[in-house]
Amino acid sequence: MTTLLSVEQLMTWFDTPEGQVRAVDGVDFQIQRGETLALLGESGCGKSISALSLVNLVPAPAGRIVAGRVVLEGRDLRGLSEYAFRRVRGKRIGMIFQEPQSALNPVLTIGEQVGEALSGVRSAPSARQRVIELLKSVGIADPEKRYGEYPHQLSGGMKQRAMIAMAIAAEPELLIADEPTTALDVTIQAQILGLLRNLQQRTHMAMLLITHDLGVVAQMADRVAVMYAGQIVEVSPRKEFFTEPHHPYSRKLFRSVPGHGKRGGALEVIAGSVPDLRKEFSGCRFAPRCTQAWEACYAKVPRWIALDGHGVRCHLFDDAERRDTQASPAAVAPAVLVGGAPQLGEEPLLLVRDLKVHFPITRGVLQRVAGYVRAVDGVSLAIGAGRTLALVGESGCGKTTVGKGILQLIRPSAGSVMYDGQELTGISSSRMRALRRQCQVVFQDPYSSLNPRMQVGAILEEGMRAQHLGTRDEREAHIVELLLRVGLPPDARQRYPHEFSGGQRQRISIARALAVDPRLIVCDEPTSALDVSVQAQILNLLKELQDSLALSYLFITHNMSVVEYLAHEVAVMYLGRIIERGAVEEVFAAPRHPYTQALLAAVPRLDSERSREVIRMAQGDMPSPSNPPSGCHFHPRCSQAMPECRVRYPEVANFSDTHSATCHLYPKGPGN
Amino acid sequence: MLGTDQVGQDVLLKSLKSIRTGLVIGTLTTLVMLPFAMALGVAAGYFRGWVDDVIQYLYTTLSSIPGVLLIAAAILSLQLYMALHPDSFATVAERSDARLLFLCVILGVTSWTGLCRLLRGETLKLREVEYIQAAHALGSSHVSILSRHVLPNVMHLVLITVVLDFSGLVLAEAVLSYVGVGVDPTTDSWGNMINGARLEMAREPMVWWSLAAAFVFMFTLVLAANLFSDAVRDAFDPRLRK
Repeated sequence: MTTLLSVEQLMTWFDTPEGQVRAVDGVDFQIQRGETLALLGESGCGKSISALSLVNLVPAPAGRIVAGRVVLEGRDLRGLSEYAFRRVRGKRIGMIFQEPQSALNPVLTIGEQVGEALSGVRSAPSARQRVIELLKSVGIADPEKRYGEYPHQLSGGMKQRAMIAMAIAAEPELLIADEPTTALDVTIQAQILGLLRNLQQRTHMAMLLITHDLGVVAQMADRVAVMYAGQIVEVSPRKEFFTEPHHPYSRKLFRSVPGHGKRGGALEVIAGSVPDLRKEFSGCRFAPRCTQAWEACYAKVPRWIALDGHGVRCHLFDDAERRDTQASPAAVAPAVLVGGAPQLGEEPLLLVRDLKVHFPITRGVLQRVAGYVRAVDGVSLAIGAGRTLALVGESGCGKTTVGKGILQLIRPSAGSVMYDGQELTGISSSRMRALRRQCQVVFQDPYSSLNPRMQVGAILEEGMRAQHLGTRDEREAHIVELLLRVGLPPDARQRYPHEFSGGQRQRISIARALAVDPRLIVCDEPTSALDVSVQAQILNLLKELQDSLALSYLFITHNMSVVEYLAHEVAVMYLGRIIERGAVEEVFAAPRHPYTQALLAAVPRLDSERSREVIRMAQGDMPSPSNPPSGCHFHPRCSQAMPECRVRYPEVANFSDTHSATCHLYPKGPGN
Repeated sequence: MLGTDQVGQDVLLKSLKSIRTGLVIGTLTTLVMLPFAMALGVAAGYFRGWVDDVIQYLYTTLSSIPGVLLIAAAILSLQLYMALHPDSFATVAERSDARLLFLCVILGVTSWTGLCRLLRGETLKLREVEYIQAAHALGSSHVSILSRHVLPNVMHLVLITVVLDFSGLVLAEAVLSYVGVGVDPTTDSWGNMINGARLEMAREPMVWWSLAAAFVFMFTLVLAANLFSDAVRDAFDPRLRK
């Protein structure tokens, strides 16, 4: 293997009114031909800026590349003019971005956009031929038809495929993939990652994969570079990285990933957050968050230490710095958890029966109803006091609508929602307002869930004010208590939401929900927008709150490892209906429905080898809920579909008291 | 300082007096239209359903009436009314005041549609935002959601539009007075000054200063209003506060 790209001492700084931000501060790495290097790190550590610096696309004039060399096959790219650089971009280095929605121009057809990326002058018919070939090679079915379609006619996964087609159009030697699957569902993610691997094998191109997902790294990378606060802190071959990470930061990252093995205990968290990149560092950047730090870590910047095959930037591995009387790792006191989950009570706290939410589709001047989007089409579930039910499924399957329907934020079209023996559907708004105290909600996006113009204190007080709880002084005292409870300082109440980080904002959201002493909280993807280490903090908090306050959670998510860690029961949703339910142990150990099996198989695992059996799910995405397929909704994508599946919606098959699935593979009746 | 016009009145004094007219037209009209625009726009976006239909119908109808024609018709009918009831308007000053006031009301009634449409759109977007959903889930009433969550977050739009409208109205007054359907010809206003200066331009030597004075004053007022609104918006944004 020969070195394709080598980066030396790359520095990219941003000028802001508050000072210079050293987003990338001395990064070195090499990529060999045909190799995949994964750049791993939390948000804000400079991964994307490093990649943009390689192709000279750093947002100017705020950002500038201060120093360093980027050598592509012996040629330094830094000296190139913008004109010369345009030939490198696309032709020799291709890029894929995270958000397929915004990376495609909505007014041009797919064919035109992919054609634009073709190098050289071609005649129209041959260019068209080539584009169709490309679309076919990235696995887009019916490329002739897709050629003339616009981006909005394609699903998220298809758009990402089209993006890949554009990136590989000119057969680049290096592909930079910036979080290529973060915005996609796990099943689509598995397809896209598989596609990238195949392409790589076929064309022997190198890939720089930027991600924050350890699972993706495990599946894709040959070598891993861990980035922290603008520097690479560890480089290691994949196998060694997963068996024996060296840098304390890498080790911490592994331990903060939720999963089945960590059930019952608290996840290990990395205290604090990524440091401010505006100041000079006099020591190790990770020292303030490191549990193994000693004086030298604060006093001296660690050297890059090359061990055989890998390297690390840490005093622990520097013999000159290493001391025998090393400070023993100060253990992070994990929150003491009450062992054992509370048992399911006689009477469930929340009982949902056959909930349906249909949105009318209106057409024409007179707004006649032409059909319905069956977002939720007959969902039944039950949550006991102090229990967690996880509702999982791909985006667009109606999970969030179920949550809103239960809280009566959207009035259900049919069905019943019994909360503590009280029927919520059709209840008057004034009585519902009083019941709102009992059921609260935590949303996904910590940035849009807090009013930017209200102080944190006012945000927390809102619920108490609406429910007429306590006097002014009592509310004030309660706010302080809430802030302490979720791990924020009491003076936070006089600050505005934008002064807090994502994880802190999510804590404020949780505190807002807790302010009215609810018994049920609907958590709508509360950790999806957060980094792994912050996610661990929030999950710990939720778990601790459940244990001390006996809260019930309806946990809506698409993240299987979070489900495994936190939930007691799980319900899998597909196209508005629940297709499998059961206790977490049962469903994860022996998934029965082919969709659940595919979903679980698609989740990238840290501990597995690459040659893992992948349950193929037929190509394609979730059908539209306005026009669901006949019979079983899943049959067009199901690998085990039978003729019967096309005709009739299957009935529920029970495997145990708790575990059931809706599939023709398990005909109803005793003995199954 | 700026010389005199054809009847010997001081141009500087006239221009200074015209500021008053400009400000009255600008602020009064804005004050007339603001409650309409805010209440209807936010209500349409927030409640949707039939409320939205009615309000949309209303502003679509209103905004499709040609503005200048409506104002001309209204002013002419007011003139007719004043001619038929000379006893209710004893003095000239009273007449011109009534005409100014009437102009403000007419301009106000016709100019709220733009802001209303903007606010409706913004509120439609805001009502789906998670913090408003969370407020619903906490059991807050509509009034408190509207006043604590929606209004503060559309205020920047209101401010910008109000200032743009203010500038537009000051300029509109000049145009209307020039056409002859604006304020009373005896009122000091930039429109009337420009109208008067039109004939003076043809003289030899050219009398340019009364036109220039009107222009400079108008320009300064509008610019000042724009700068002021920028400062106000920044001052109210917690994200920009240090």
